[in-house]
Amino acid sequence: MTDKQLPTWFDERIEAWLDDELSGSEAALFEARLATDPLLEREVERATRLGAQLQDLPALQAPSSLSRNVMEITGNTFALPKLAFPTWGWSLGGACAAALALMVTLGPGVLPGGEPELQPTAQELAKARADLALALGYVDQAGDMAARQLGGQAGALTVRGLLEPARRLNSDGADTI
Amino acid sequence: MRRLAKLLLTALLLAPLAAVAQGLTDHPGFVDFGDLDGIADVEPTVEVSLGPALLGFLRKTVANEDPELSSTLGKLRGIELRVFELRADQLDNARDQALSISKRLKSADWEPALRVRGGDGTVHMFMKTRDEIVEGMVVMIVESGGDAVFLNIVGEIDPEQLGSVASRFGVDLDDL
Repeated sequence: MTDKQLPTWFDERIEAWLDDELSGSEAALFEARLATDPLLEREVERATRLGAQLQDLPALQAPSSLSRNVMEITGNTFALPKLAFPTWGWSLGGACAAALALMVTLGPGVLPGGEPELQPTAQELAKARADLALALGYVDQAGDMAARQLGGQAGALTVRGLLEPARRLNSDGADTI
Repeated sequence: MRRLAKLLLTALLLAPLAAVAQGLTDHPGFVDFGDLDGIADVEPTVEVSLGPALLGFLRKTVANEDPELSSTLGKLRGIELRVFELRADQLDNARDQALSISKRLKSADWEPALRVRGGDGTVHMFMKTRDEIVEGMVVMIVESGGDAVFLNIVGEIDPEQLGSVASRFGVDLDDL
């Protein structure tokens, strides 16, 4: 791997140039270098892509409980200072940190493809509970059928004791398919 | 150094995105029952799909009254259930489907936990394990009476705990 590096001066001013925060002479110097240095061009493209990815993150609606939780944690003891982000670099770091914190805090539901964090209704929860019970009931039924095949009493075998009979069934082969 | 920090930040940013992109269908314990839709040209009479979000809400509803049950539910990632009511002449098709899925599971390193054929019907049970932890379970029942059941439980499963959950939810096999 070649380790050709940009001069620090240019490297440190990529974000500032993207944010149009360089002075006239600095911008001219930067752009003159950019026109002739493929390495600087690549770094600028990379920073631009990263910025675009951050821009593409969806706007998030914080849950209503968030502010209440924050106030409970802080005990209402202080006010948040007003933050200033003087350069694009700070914005980038801040955006990354904020995005990470939101993803960790809110989970996959906030992102495309994730399940939406919508509060189900009581009816939906009741149905889900019934569906879950039904599904687990079929696991029990499988155990029941195995127990009957073993000659045991119907209903005597539940999932609780399923694995050992399953091993026996599979080892002797007599009752297996 | 700044470049390294930027790369680290980028990696940190993208890693959760990749994890999120891997939904339930990418879980090692998930089995696609999609091919079953229309088994023997019969639509399922019962079709259940519980994802992690809904299971999470269920877990929360029982957290105070039953922490153990809540813990069990917290490890489940999904439930997929299809039940077909079939005529006698359609049962062979269901058995063929169960055998076909069994072969597919075996080739994907699922372990056969139970295979039964008797007067009641046939049962196939498979488990996907990693480091002795069950990550998924498939139960396929083709009853002689006409019901065909295809069930996939996704997530960390302790069979003993599952039995406990079923009993606490008051499952009555006679109602099935």
